[in-house]
Amino acid sequence: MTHLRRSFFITKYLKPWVLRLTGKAGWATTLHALPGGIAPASHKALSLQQKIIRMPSGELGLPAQLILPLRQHLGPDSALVVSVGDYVYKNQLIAAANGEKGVGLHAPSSGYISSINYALLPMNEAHDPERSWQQALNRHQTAIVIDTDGKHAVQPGLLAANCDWRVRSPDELRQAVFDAGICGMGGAGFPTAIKLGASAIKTLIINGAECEPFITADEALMREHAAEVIEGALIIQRICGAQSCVIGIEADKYQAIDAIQGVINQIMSELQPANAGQAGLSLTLIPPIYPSGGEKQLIRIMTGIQVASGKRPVEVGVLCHSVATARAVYKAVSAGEPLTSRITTLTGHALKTAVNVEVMIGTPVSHLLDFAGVQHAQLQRVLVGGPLMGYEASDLDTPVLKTSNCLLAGSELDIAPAVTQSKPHRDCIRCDFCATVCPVKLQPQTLYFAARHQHHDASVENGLFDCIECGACAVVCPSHIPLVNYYREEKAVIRTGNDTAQQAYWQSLFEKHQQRLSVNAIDQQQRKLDKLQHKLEAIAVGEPLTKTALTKTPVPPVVAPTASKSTEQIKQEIEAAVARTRAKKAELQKKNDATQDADK
Amino acid sequence: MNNVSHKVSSPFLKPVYSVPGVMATVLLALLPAAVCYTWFFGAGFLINLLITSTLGLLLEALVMRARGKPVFFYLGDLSILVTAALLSFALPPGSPWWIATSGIFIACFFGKHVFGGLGHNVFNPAALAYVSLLILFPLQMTGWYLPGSGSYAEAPIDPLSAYGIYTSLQLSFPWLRDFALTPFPVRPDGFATATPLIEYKFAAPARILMAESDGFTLWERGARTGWEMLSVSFTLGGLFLLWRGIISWHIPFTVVAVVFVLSSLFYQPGQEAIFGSPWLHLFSTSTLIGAFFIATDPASSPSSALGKVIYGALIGIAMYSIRIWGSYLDSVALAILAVNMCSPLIDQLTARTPLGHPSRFKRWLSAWKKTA
Amino acid sequence: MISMLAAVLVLAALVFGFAWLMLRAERLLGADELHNAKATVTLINSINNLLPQTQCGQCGFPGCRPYAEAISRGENINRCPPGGAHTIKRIAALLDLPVVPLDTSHGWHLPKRIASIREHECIGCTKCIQACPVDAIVGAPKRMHTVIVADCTGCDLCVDPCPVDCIDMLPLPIMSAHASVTVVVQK
Repeated sequence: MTHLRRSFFITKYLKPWVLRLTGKAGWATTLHALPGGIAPASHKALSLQQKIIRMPSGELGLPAQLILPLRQHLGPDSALVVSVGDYVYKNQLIAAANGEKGVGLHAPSSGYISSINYALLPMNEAHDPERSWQQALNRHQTAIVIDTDGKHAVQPGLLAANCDWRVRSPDELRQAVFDAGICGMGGAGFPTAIKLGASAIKTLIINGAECEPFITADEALMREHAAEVIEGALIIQRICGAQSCVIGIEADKYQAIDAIQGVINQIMSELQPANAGQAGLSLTLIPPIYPSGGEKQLIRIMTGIQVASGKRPVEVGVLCHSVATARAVYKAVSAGEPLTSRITTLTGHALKTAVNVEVMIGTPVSHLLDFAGVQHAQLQRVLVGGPLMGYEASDLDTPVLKTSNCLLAGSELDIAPAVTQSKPHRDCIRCDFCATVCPVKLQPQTLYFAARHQHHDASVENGLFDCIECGACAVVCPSHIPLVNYYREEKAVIRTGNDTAQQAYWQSLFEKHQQRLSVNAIDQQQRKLDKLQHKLEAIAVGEPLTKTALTKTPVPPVVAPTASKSTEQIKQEIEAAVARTRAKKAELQKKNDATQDADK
Repeated sequence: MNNVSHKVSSPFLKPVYSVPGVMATVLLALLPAAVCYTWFFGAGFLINLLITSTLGLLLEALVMRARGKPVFFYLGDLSILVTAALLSFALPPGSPWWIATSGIFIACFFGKHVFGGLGHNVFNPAALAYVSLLILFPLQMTGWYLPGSGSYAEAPIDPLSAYGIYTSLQLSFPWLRDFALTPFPVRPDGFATATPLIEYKFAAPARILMAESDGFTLWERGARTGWEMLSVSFTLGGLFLLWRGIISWHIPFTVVAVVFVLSSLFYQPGQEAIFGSPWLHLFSTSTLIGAFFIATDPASSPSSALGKVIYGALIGIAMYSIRIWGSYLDSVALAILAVNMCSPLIDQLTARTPLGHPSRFKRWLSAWKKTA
Repeated sequence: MISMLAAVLVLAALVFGFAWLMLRAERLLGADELHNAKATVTLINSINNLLPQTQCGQCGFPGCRPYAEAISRGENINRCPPGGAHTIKRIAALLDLPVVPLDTSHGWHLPKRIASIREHECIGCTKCIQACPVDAIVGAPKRMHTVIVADCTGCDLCVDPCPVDCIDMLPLPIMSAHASVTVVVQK
């Protein structure tokens, strides 16, 4: 039970201290302790037994369809530039960036566009602007569907000029990144080109922490493509003009550390000895604690800087990019390749083979699960992302997005079983375990009470919007309270302004509307009554019932006289109608009075 | 009801702890003390434990039924057993059955469910019940039958012998005395005494302690040995809880440190009868069960580290002050109850500053500047 | 011992005796029926306060209050798509019912949207004005209509009656986290 805490203490405090004393490379820099954090069983070895499998290969074929939602990033939806029936080549732009803050979308493979109104099922109840790719899947959102032809053909004559990035200007390089449609591949999906446009950057941090259990996409990438990652980091450094570039890797990724260190040593040895100090490229090992890979958390660990609440790290001169983004930048700049594929971990004990694959963006989850051999008897659910920050793919046609770093086919060993019936949790016993693991130093239990009782002001004061939803509190909660659910709901309620004041206003509008309708109905009956009375008077006076007079009075059809009816009959009918209308009016009046009384 | 529909959003990892697990660990930590208590003070403790546990579960079930909650789900959190066990440690072994009965009644109703059940209680239920009993039944609550001491020596309450167990039963259930095989050996009130500190406090002859401190062996049943061994076993249990991560070091450490410092400051050799030595304050009293088990009750203690330190220090000061200058018989439970009342305020004043927010000092400074 | 038991018994008898007397008194004074009626109204009001007040009628009742009345009579609590799981949870907590997933036959829970009339296409038929449950559309016959954004609940009810299909449901601009914090604090 306390395995989590003890191993946590060792990994967080003891090991870094010992290693610093022994002077092991990477540990030399002073680290700043991250408050809180947990050390759950990592299960990373599972998917690291094989090398990365590339998508169009003998083992892993192209899917029949690629589904590409127009919003896979934080910002406005991309604008369509193709229509149904068009033939698109690999790497061709299919949706352009919508303004400067947008991100373009490129075809990962060649084929015909079969649909652009593909509706994805709503997936996650809680919608959160910070994780807009989740929200993107909430709505019946437009997605482009490409029926692949298997040729994987590049447009003829579209070979990018392969010139050395070192001679190109930072603006040109940034334009190349923008054209490639790159957004942050770690999870948030923030457009990379915007981040790179920030000025006065001192430190560039390349995030290779990957602290969540099961996910090994970044680790596999660093093992096999270390040179590309470092090259990408240097390109980013050139674009943003940072003086130093630090690559942060969790200390238990031994092979990745060796690979990266090897490349760094090589680059350093190639440089003139005089310039070696200026390159400012270094490697820092950080304790393998979840969630040290969060942007603000990593910055805190490596630089000691606390990014103020509501601010972005670029405002304090630190830029943070994941290794996957660095590699995408390298590919975009050196080969002109847009972002059309990414490395995704297929893992979980419900799969026959757990492996890292380099897949086309837009590949349906079901295609990858079939490839990995999912054992349905053991499958609890499929998660996109890790078990702590991911979301459930309730629909297996969900595509792999630019931000999807892992597909976890969880068995009972891995994740909490899917509960089909509503299940009560216990009351909070104020044990404080949640506060000790919170990496933002929040007081999760205070927040829980505020969120649960809809005390919006108290929630905000206690830092609800500083919560990174890492889920550490919910994992250690002995009462099994789904704390993160409560926080998300509270955030959604506050954000949509779905609060009682607005509701009360709508309610009053509706009540006024209803009142108006009821008064109108009474008035209508009164008018009818008046007309009938008028007609009775007319008969009494002995005026002839002309046809024109009749058509003008909208009396009920029963009153409509026919030639066969005598005046007396007509009179009787009108009197009956008067009585009916009176009764109806009285009834409406009574009802109206009753509702008014009830309101009082 | 804390109903949750499908758990559709993250995290999906299995939870690590559980409330029954936490409570079971606390019960496990109390095991050495239970053995020790029974060994030194007779089977009366076990009788009390049996009464409080059984009745506690029954009462809890009744209350949950009345509140319209799922009975077995809430019984399953085992919290009432922890309350029952702690209460049994506070009761004198050999007190009549209705002491334990009313104690668990008060703990369950007025200590816990009046405030809304587990996690909502302002006071520690066991401490509240103990103090209430002390006020309601002062005579019975201070009557500790000291085994193997003075004129009591002729009636050792050996938990291992049938005779000793029967004597304990007779003490708890007075009607059994009519069926005695041998005449009931003790006149209860005549031999009543309390914890050693009370001996000191009321200037009663400290002869038992003095006599025994000359040369006592660890396992020999005697008043002083009993108390000290009990304190040691509570410490062991507390360390176990610390190791398992159930409690944090802040509260127990501060309470013990403050009591130690205060008693060292006021202690003058030769004045045992007034102030008592630090050793006596820590090991011959209920300080350690209070520090490790009662003050650390999560629901009634503050949650931040700083808050815990302040809370522990206040408890230590209150404990020593009530013991030395107050007129109450027991100080630990009273001190904890008094400081329990402050814990919401402490919580509010010592709330942690989230990362990225201005520090507490800066906030105070800006507030100060605004008013000035 | 006996005296103690006697004291407890006497006190208990007094307590229960007085409680019983008070109960009888309440019954005798005939406050029961009125009390029940009032309790029902209070219950309907408190359910109504939990509903999102979009008045969209997706639940099959003509507005939120009618649905609240229906719930108080035992209707299912999962028929409100704009409220979503959150509302279901809160109503379940109020009525002490089990939480059930949203009945999606009445619609999906989607983010709030606002009706917008393409004004150059509007023919001024007043059909949407009649359909709007909160009078959030202004206009006159044969004149252009428009939506009062602050009043629109996003109920969709005006979309169907429009004979020229000139009403769009547009998503609200998403506030940044920081902006929404300021808004809340200012309130």
